[in-house]
Amino acid sequence: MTTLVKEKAVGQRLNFQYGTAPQEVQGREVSKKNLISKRAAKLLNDYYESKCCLDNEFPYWYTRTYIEKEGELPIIRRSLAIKKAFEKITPMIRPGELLVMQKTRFVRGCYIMPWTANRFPLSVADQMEDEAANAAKRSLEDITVCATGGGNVTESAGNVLSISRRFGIRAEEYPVLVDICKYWVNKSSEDICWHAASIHPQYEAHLKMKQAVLMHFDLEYSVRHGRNVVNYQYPLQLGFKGMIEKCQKHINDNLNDGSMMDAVAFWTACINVIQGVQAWIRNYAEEARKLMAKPQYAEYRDELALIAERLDWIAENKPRGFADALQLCWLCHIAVTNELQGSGFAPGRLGQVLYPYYKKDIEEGKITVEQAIELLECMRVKFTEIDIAMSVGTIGLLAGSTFNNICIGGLRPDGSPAENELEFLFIEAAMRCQTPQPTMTLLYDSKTSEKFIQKAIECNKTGAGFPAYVNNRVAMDYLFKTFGQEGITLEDARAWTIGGCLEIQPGALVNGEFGAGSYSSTGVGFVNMPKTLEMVLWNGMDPRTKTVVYAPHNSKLETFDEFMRVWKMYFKELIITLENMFNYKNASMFDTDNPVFYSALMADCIEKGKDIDRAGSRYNRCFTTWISGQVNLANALASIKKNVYEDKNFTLDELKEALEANFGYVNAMVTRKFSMVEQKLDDSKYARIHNLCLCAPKFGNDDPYVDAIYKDVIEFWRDVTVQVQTVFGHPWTACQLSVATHGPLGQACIASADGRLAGLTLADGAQSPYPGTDLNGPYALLNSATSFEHSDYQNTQLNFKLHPSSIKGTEGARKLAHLLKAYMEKGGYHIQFNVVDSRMLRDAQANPDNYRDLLVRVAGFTQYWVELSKPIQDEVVSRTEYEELG
Amino acid sequence: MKKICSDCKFLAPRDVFKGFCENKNAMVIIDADAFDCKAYSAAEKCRFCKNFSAGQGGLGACAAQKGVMVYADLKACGDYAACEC
Repeated sequence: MTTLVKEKAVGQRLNFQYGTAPQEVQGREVSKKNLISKRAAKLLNDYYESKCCLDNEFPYWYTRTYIEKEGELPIIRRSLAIKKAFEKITPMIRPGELLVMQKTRFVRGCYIMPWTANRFPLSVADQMEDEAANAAKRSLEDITVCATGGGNVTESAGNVLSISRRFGIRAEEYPVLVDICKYWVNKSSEDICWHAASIHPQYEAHLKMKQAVLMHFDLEYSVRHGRNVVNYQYPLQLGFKGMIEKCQKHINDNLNDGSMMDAVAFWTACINVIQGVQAWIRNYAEEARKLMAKPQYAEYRDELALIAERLDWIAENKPRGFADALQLCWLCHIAVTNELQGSGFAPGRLGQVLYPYYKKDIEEGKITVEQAIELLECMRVKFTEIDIAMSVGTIGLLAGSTFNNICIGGLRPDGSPAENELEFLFIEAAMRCQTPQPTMTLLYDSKTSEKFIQKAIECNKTGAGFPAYVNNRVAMDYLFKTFGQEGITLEDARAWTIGGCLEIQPGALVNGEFGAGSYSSTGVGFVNMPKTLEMVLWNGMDPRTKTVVYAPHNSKLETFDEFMRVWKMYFKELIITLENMFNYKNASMFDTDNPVFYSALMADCIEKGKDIDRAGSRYNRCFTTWISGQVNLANALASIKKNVYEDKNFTLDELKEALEANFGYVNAMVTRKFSMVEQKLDDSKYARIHNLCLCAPKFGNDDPYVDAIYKDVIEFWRDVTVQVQTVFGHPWTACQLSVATHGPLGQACIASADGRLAGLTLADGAQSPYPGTDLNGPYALLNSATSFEHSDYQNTQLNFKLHPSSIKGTEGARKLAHLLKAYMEKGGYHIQFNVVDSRMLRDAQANPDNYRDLLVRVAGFTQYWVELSKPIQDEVVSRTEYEELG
Repeated sequence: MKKICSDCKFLAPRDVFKGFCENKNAMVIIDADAFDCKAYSAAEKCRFCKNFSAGQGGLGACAAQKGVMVYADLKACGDYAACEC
């Protein structure tokens, strides 16, 4: 099969299958695609045929107004710029839409927010003005391999230019964008945060760490907000008119209190942006009326009339029913993404937020179940259309996902199970309308009904990759540990939800209803764990770039204990430096691109008179350090411990030579193959050492030897992370997930002592084994994955790839439910399932045009296969495929 | 003056390559030549306004609004006055 597998004569070898797959390639057992409504199918087809593109309207109007309003207080100036941009962007309604409003006039449109990140759209010459900062960035930019299929515009052609190898922009509009971006030089968050950081004594060390790609590069500013939850309750309960009245009352009550000047400015800013959003809604209502008058829209006339009437109503008032409420939630959501360059703004417990409206409409006969499903299908297409304009490096991190996570199930504030009929329809709509967004996560509790779990498993069988499953009790333990100091209530803990992929966020009840009110999960992401080991082996130098990152440790590393002491010394310096620098950078941006509309929505901000960057939210201990590749690190340490120090199979110097020579294999950046499958051997000189490295204990096999090392590594990281205080005075938190960073971060690593070759994608998630190394079956993997306390982390992550036959029929579903419950009972937090035949994925790589709608689960998100980069595709293909769950 | 679909008021863009032509009731390529299209009608953009003057970069100026920065493809404002171009 592969050169690598053939070479394994003794001991542990790589095996990319557990069990035996059926001879014939098998599709997914369940498919409901044929039940999708004609309307949603047409809209989804529009999406498939659309390219990612950039629009200048919002940044132009924002920038023009910002210039005109010089002299205003920063938050007022920003709010007026946002207001004007909302007022001016062109509304676009497509024939057949029931749910309307979108980010730009394009289907997959987005725009640069140069007040946040202004450098990447510029030419290389313009970018390089700040050489030091850019050198740190380009190191990762240069090696990131981007996706080429689907809606990606990877190359310039004709009158369209490619930006970030993903977005198309009209050639005639590019110079406008350049002029706008240049205005923001030394004014943008990107520039301000780097300037602020430069006064810190650790600045130079920090730059070197970035140059070596010990972490991803631009999260400080590029997507600093997100991974938390949009609170829809204020517009739902008060309407926009009521929200404005509330702000105005606060202003009137505090106008003569000098100590409240900042709060008065905040409330004024909130009114401004809400008025901008109202104007934007009314513009859409007007557009619907215009279309009604056109003969080619005749068949949609009644629907357009309803849309216009609905928009006019909710521009002022609270919703009257389910369709109003869904439209209102959607427009709030998309308005947040228009205000902020963030990712992972989750709709949270949307099915429970909307349930009272649905229930009332059903009871009053105003809507049927099928009509509700159709609306939810339209919602799915809308969420899938969202895009974020960003740099190549951030694209490598996010893989085109926007992480709009809807949580289903869990508990109500009173402790009873929360799943409802509408959430069954959420799942049904997701099966019929197979889109990656919004993703779904089931909050599993022992009180969750079997019927609900079986419905979720039915959806898993379609191959959608969701719902993922998370442990309600583990999450609540985490919440009380983390937000105890902020006085979290039992009811808010029960109302928790996920922001982004998997990050646990506390709930925030608003008048007893499910709401949200926490700071963004933001911080240091993502630490490249295998890279930290290279620093120890090369005495403080990055062997790939030859950058000297650390002061040499000069230890002879004569024992494994000494080896670990040095690793911990370097690792601690890395974490402390990155967290300190982030604090400096983050606080410097609070007057530049702070959330105004988002804060107006967030629970308690209006009451406190503070935006979320001033800790206006109810809960604020959300600064996070993420790591990636920890399984590779643990495996590599286990190999060094066994091969170098215990069995003395080779010396550290011999190992270093083999690693630098990539064990004699051709580099992945040459072969363009990014998993251990199908690598090309060039020189067999290092075959013995490589074999020994591959045969060393591997995480995922219930082997205490390596599991204990894994536990030691992540617990050390957990303990170091909390030693730094955030800008809000809380300890930082530790978070385990990879998103798609395991691709580019792996490309920045040379070969490692676990046998992984240079440039290959790292293990995904957090507890997922390295592909091909988990040989002892699913329950052994669960034991390894629960060898530490999950509730000490903001989240953990375990991905399983299952062959469709392994969960086929009622018996298969029962086995899957058993596995899921076993993991939860052991204290695991998160598990998700990719149900796919690997041979189908290989065929999809060879024939992408035949698989435009194929979905796969990557890390905490689902994506269309064709929208993924080659390194991530290769990693997903190579993941161990479980043919049986016994 | 060259006539292309992207400058026509009947075009509703779907992305930077194509859009929906409300006259043809079909998708068209944005850069398609509209010289022979009888329904073509120039959209009200700054580039067709006599108050617009192009700048050296991408941004130009609007004479009707005290020289405020505008650009050629910007949707025109209430001061729009079609030029003879």
